Formats: sequence, C-alpha cells, structure tokens
Amino acid sequence: MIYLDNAATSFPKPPAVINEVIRSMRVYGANPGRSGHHLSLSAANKVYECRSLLGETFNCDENGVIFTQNTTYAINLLLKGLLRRGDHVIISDMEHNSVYRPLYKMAKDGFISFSVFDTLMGLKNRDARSICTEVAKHLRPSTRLLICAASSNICSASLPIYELGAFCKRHGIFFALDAAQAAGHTEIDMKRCQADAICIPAHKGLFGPMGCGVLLLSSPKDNRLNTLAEGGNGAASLDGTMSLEAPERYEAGTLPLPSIAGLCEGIKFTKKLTLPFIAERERACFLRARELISSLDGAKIYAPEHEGAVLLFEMRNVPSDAVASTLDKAGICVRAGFHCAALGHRTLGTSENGAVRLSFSPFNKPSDADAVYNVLKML
Amino acid sequence: MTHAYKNQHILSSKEVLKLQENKKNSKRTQTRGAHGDKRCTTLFSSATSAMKAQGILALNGIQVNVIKTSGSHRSSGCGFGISYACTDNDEIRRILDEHGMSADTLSRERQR
Repeated sequence: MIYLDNAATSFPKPPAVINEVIRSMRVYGANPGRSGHHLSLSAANKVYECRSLLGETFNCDENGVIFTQNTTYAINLLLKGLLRRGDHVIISDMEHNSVYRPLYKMAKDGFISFSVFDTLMGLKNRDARSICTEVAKHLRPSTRLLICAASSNICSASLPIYELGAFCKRHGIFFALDAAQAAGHTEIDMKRCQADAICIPAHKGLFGPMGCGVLLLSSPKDNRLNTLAEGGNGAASLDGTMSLEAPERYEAGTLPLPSIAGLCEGIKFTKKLTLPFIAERERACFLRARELISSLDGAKIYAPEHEGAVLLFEMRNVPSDAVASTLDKAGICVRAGFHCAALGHRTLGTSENGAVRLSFSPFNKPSDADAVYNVLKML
Repeated sequence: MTHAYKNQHILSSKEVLKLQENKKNSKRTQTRGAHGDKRCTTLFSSATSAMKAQGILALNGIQVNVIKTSGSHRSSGCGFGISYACTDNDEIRRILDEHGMSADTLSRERQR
C-alpha cells in the first residue's frame, strides 16, 4: 500500500505517537485539569507538556496555546470570537472552506463583509511585494482581519507570511494564519511573522492523532476574543462565566487527552527529523511525480512551478474519481474531487471536474511516484 | 499584569523533562511538610498557570507541588495552586513577579 493522501491526514503515524496514545489511556487516563489526585495531575502535566512544546515550536507563550477539536473549530473560534458587527475581512483566493464557509455565512447573515485578494497564481511576477499590493487593494477603514492559508491544500503554493504579517502591522489589522498544510512542513515563527493567531491541526504535518486542533494566540491576555463555547473547565467552578484567563477560558469541556498525548510525540518526531529534511523529502517526491506525470499524454498538472508536498493533476477524458479509484485498486491512496476548497479550485480552473491530489509525507519515497505513473500510463 | 506578561518564560522540551524530574524530588518536600514544616499555597486560576509557575520555580531551584484546590480556598470555586515550604514564600513571590505572574493574580494561605 502506498499512502499519498497526507494533506487529508498523515499516515502512518510514528510508533511513538501510537504508543503514547495507548499509554495515555492505560497509565494516566484521568480527566486533565479536573481533579486533584495524582492521575489527573499526571494527565494535566501531559497537556501542559504539549502546550510548552507547541509554544517552543511556534515561538509563542504556552498560555496562548488553546486546544480545540480540529483546525476548523480553531478557525471558527477565532472568527466568531474576534469579529464584531460591521467588520471587514480579507482572505486569499486559495482558501480552504474552513475559512471561506464561516465567513460566507457571517456575511450572508449581514454580520460582516469580506473580500478575496488575488494571490497571482500562475503569474511570473508573483512575489511578496506584488501579493501585498493585491491585499492593499481591498483595505477599508472597517478591515479588522486578514486571514489566509500559509500553504494551499490543493497545490504546493504558499503565501509570503512574513511580509503579510508586516503589512498587517503597518495597517493595524489582525493577522491570522490557517497553517493546516504548513505546520510540520515549514518553519512558522509566530513572533517573526507577526501573526496574531495561527490555527493548526494535530493530525497532519505534526503526526498526531485526529480529534485535536490548536489555536495559537500571540496575546492571550488581551481578551479580545470572545468564547465560542462555554462549560466546565476545572476552574472557578462556582462562577457563571468562563474565567478570563487563556487558555482555559476557551477550552470548555474535557480535552482530548489521547490526541494531545499523541501530538506531543508527533511534534518530537518532526523535531527529530527536522523540517528541512521533511521539506526536502516531500519535494523530492513532488519532483519525481511532476516529471513522470507531465510526460503522460493527456495529463495536466496545476501550479507545477510550486514545488512541495502537494501535486494536483488531471487526466484528460478520465474523471478524477475514476483515476483515484483505479489507483486505489492498485493499492495507492490518493484524493480526487474538490478537496473542500471552492475558492482554490476556481482560482486554478478546476472547479468543474475537480482534480487528483497527491500529497506526500517524509514516509514517502520518490519511487512512490513511479508506482503512480505505472498505473496512470495504463489508463 | 498585561505588561509584565511579555517577560514570561517559555519552557523548552528539555526544561519540561527537567521539570518532570524535579516533580519527583518535590514529592519529598511534601513529605517533609507532612512531618511538621509549615506549608504555603499560592493559588492560580488555571492548571496551566500553576504548572507554568512550577516550571519557572524549578528552573530557579525551588521545588513546589501543583495541587488542586477546592471551593474552600477561593470564593469562585475550585482552581489550582502550588504548595511549598513557607520559608520559600518571599523568594517565590519575587521570582513569579519577575516572570510577570504578578501578585494580583495570586493569593496566599497558610496551612498546617
């Protein structure tokens, strides 16, 4: 079996991740942050270890590390907690539905408005400055937030997050990153890119289990963010309101301890491999796949100039679902269709038929691309 | 409180491991307390803050235990605290203040 659907979730997981998930359930599986017995404190300590590790990895304070169910929930918490009636938001034309849909609904309800900036996909003069110029075209007095994907989920294009962060600071707007496809693949330094918030998944590039996402806040004590859900969090239990202090303020209900414990080991795994090694391995797979698939009659690769962990292509006259199904029969797991990215597909011109996505991890080898090619050439 | 926050310390993974090692040692401190040393408790509104304080203090050579506190300790109900020998009280106050965990978030009680 060859797994090339790592942009959906990474597989396989490192043995240390699996072992720690099991250990969290066998050895210290109490509710973290609730009781005072040693098992609950051990569980709370594991949660804190993971917060610290995330803080160290993304250069933010551990009080700003908020655990959520997934990245989408983290993005919803950010958008619905931050935005006020009449606010304006700027997003890119490559956004995932996790950003697009909440904003679309909020705009449809007449609560906010949003604009989409051109990321200049396919243009030769695509650089940080020209992208910032595109963003500037959408600035309004009511613009409160720029939120964008650090890396696309349908191709290997990324945005100049450091320049965009500086741009946002210059214009006094909140800067947030959807790092679902960037975390664990490229370095993201929260302070250096001047991001106010970053949303990341546990289960993709950081190799944790599903069931956990993270919202990172650069200023967890300023309480600009309203809560999205309220409930028990083990603190100030006699009060009717959530405590004012992050991260617990935003963590209503029991935390997914096994997922957090696994994430902790996943982060250690990526640190051990190092991000340059991971990026280079993924790029090597991409380059081999691009070389082979582009040689096939009827194959079209989208945004081929962006080299990284994701390659999007289609085969003329063969629906993407059929391509994926044929690959699956040969033991190769890929994703076909629209990849939850309405805006991105419109931008790349694949919104009618969808496309096939290969997404790599450091567990893949360039020879995996050969296996894909051998199936595709038989179509 | 907000301004001092910038100075707070972020633990590296090595420091977390050191913290875990220190936690083992801190159990011995608690045992001595059970034999008559006066124990003090500093209260925090969250487990994260209590564990953060524990890590900062461990790096400064002071062993404390994180404890869960009940409603009898604070008017708003349960929370978390650190428990330590009262002889360390002033030093702990100074270190936590230095790291932006300012005194207005803390209250101290004496236990026998």
